[in-house]
Amino acid sequence: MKSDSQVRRLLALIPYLASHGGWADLAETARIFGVGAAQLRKDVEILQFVGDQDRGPENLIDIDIEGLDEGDIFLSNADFLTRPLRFTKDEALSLIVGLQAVAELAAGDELAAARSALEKLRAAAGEAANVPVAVVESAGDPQVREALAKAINDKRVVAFDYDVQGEKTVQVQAEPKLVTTAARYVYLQAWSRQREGWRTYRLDRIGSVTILDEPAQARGEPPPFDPDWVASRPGAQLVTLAIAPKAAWLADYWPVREVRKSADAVEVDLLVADQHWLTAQLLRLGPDLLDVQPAAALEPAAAEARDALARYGAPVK
Amino acid sequence: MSPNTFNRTFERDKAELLALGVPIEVGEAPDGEDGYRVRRASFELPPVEFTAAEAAMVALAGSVWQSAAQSEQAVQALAKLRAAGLNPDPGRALALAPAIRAEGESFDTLAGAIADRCPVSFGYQGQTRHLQPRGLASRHGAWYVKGFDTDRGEPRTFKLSRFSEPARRDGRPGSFPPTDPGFDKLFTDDAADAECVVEIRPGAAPSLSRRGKPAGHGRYRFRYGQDGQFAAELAGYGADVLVVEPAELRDEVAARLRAIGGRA
Repeated sequence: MKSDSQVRRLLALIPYLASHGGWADLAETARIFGVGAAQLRKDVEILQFVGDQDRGPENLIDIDIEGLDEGDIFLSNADFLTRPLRFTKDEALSLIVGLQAVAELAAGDELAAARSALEKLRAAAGEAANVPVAVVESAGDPQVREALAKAINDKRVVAFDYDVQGEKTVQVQAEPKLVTTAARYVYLQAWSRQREGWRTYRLDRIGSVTILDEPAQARGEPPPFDPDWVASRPGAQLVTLAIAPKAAWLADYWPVREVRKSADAVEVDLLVADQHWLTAQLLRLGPDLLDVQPAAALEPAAAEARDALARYGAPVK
Repeated sequence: MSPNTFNRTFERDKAELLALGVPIEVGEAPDGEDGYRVRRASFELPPVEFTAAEAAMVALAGSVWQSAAQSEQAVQALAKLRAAGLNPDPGRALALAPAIRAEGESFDTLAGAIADRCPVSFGYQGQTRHLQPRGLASRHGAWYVKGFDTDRGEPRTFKLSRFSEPARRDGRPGSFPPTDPGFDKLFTDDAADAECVVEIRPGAAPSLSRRGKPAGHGRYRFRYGQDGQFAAELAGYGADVLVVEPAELRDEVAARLRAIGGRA
């Protein structure tokens, strides 16, 4: 037998080509099947030795080999296999989870389409779709997503409130381009009218969106998104925290450089570009923070805690 | 070919066909002899039709995986749908680019074990754990497996990135009943069973105030879970946020603040 993945491909390729009236573009078909054009050509060449046993050994699929040189696939006599095979478990799982991830980011009409497609896909997969999987993203307010999707599709400028590090709100005017996931957050990539450049905005920090009566300009494609941008920010300071093991999960949400584990503490090295962010994390840790190096990095958080305790009228010690 | 060799070859071919999605049945042929049968309906993808909007979403789903093995499977599944007539509009520009990745070698093992209802064991923070895996969840970019922990005798959730030894099958397929359809709900935040009132300084902590219900005079009402996470979040806002009631939450937040403020 030929390699498993090639047999799989051939069994889908025959009904694909048959359903396209016996003609398809070689390069496009290769892309659809996720292989290079040279590999797909080899696949097609094998098809001329494939036939339906019931119709006799001479009755094989006809391939126009010269057509392949021109980048065309012509075939006939392939109507004995008109339907693809059912999904395998791995195929069903991968596509269904992919569609669930799409649904987490979609809103409005697109969300409705993703959900109904998911239902149809599950029904078609049948038994193969028996692995329960949940996909949850922090994609913010659905109304925000719906407004952004509409503005992207209609190529319009939007205005929205944006929370900077949870500290204050700024007004942003931008031309939205793409909603994308990177590591643990969902981001909007947009051309900032104020900054005259591409910026990324966390979706869960975007407040109410207004679509303006102003068309977006052609700005080309945004640069590839790099969630490790903190590391490249000038002035970032290396801080080492020792945390009680039960609170170590918090570190999963941080831009951690290195983690060292022992029985009674987890030590993490962080690059901190924003003192306000660090203060919030230290206050959040509270009794689960065992140590900070350098020690001076704790001082702003300690001062903030004392201010807060004064509001409660509570003693500091 | 000796009968033994034939049987071995046949069993191997049968397994290969099954892996491709072609099940073989044992049955009686018309002449009364035992035989093997492949039913067209059992291996052909049933008819499935998508609207143009649905087709665009399905096509997008094929490009979501960032890990090679799952991405290849999704592409194969999409190719089958195209062979069955799916024809997404390539000119349709999409505003969405979701991304998801599988985590380490345990992902495939767990997915297979869940499908086969087969117990697994794995190393977790230095200990060996035994689990009847029931489902997987990707939550904010991290993968979790949910199941029945047979060591602790209760349902537990484990984070795949914290496995210290990869999962392996540890028992027979079909060892436990299929998972309830309500599995998805296990991962939603339904533990918010208490209510509090919090005062927020004007303009401060917008991502907190947006989630609350305004109660006048800069005060907001929140529903929260009593697992300590909300108290930790509130403490994180420092002097910008003051808990008005209940007293237990006030005390809890103050105690957390004291742990930092009383130190320097």
